[in-house]
Amino acid sequence: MTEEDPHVKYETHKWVEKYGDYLYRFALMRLRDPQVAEDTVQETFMAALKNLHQFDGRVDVKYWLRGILRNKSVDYVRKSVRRKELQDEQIQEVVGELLFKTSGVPSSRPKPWAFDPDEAFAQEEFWAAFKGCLDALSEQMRAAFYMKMVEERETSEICKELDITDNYLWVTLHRARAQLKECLESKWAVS
Amino acid sequence: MFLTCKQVSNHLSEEDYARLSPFRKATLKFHVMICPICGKYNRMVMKFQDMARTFRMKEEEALESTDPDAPHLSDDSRSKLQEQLDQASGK
Repeated sequence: MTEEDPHVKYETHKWVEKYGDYLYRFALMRLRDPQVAEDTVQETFMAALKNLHQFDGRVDVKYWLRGILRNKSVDYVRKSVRRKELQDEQIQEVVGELLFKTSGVPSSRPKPWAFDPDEAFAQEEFWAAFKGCLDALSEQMRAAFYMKMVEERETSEICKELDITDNYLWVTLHRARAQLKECLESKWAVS
Repeated sequence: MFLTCKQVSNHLSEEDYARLSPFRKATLKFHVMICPICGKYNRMVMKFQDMARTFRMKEEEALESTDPDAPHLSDDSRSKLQEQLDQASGK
């Protein structure tokens, strides 16, 4: 191996030690299942090694690996949703149509929060409740919420990656917010 | 000319006001101002956006955590990964 060898340059032998736990936590947050998270980290390392010659070093290795892992997580959700929720997708399209009457006027008005969100944000326990509620969403809803609201990515990009229409994404986010709100109110407002 | 509540909520969810034409932006603003449903919807979406942004910061902290109780790879999985990395790196 020479000095120019990318394995040496980017210290691939130290990746598990340096980034293993970081990537595992990231995968666990996105995918919930520890076994799936471990498998996805493994796939990430293998894909990174395979494409190491394409890495130009402009970003930190950690964030490059994280980008690969994020794409792998989205792939997993997309495949998993196709397997399990094909019928749910058809139902949701109908729900989307029902949310608005033909005139475009909402069929119901949003109810106010049962607690003060600004006050809750300051408390660490609130974020544990928030994570619990986020984890209780369906895989696709959670992925959509993460991509749109947490990572603030473009709608067109999300629709392409999840293989859904923008209308379907809108409905998914609408339902995700409604379920999160209901869950937070039951977990937080009563405490 | 006029925006429906659905069009307004799409713009609000998208947070794409910066890309709208001045006329479209003014129409959107006017609709949100006079429509109690869209006003409330707007406030709810904004609150979720605040929540998601704060959550992102909390998540970044959790990823870098040095707390021994924080989730981590099992020893077994770590050794397997190391072995695979060494093999693939040609060690």
